[in-house]
Amino acid sequence: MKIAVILSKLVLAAIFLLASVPKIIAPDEFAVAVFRYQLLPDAAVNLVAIFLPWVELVAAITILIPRTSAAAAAIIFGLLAVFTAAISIDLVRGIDISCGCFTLDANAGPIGWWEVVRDVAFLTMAGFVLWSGLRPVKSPASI
Amino acid sequence: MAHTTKASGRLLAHIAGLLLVAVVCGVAAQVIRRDPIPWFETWSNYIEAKALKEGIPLVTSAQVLGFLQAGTHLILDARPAVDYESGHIPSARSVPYEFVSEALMPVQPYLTPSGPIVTYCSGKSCDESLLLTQYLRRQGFTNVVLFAGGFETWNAEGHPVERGAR
Repeated sequence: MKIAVILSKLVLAAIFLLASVPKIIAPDEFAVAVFRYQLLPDAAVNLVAIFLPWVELVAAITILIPRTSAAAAAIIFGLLAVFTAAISIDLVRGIDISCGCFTLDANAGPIGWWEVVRDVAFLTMAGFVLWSGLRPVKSPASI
Repeated sequence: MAHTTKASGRLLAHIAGLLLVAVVCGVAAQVIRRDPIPWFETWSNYIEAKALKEGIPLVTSAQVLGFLQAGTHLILDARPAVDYESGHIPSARSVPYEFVSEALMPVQPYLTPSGPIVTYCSGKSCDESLLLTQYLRRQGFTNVVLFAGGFETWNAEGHPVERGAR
């Protein structure tokens, strides 16, 4: 159980670290990737491109710190829920775009249901870390 | 019960704290960065937004390279002739939008109503390719796609470039 929690934290930290860095380096390209989803009003596109990568980076680092891991897992859970919904909506609408998840290259392959399955797997991991962090610790007297 | 409330309160406080750190980092990056992006942008002016709104298919540079290698598409450069001559996508024909009806004359033999056509201009801030695409669609050419990245993207990615007039 403890090992599964540690592994989940490590995987999520690595994934979000990898996802955040290209977006921080090239916010202009990330803004285009956000825009291509055609889901946000104009005024929100650049704000998302400016702040979202930092939320990802902060969550990636703090999920490894015991004191903040539950909060980081909750943030990652929220982000993944939004990403999964956005990709699913665009797949249903037939919008043919690249994910913009780990690379901002417009030539990267288009989004598919694989991304949804992948995000649901990460979502489960984040939920598991959050649940384990919120579980009351049994004192020896209550056992 | 008290434990749960306290734990939830602590969790929410931590979440708020982490989000605040992220916001501070985002603002700091914008201030420090030499090329910050605007906080707000009118994306409806963006060439891709207009194309998507009109149902014009967009293609990437990799797709254009594929078309070029397969020889499937007629590639039309909508920039002014002087820009075309200083460098263009190989095999592209010059159709400067500013003289569109005249500029299309030499290309007529290659145009067929359902033949695949790609248009491009200098980059994401130009709109001649979009205007040319709209013009061609109005003329009855149904299979026109837009390479919104344009010549800037093509050149920046190191794809082959042809110079001079054709």
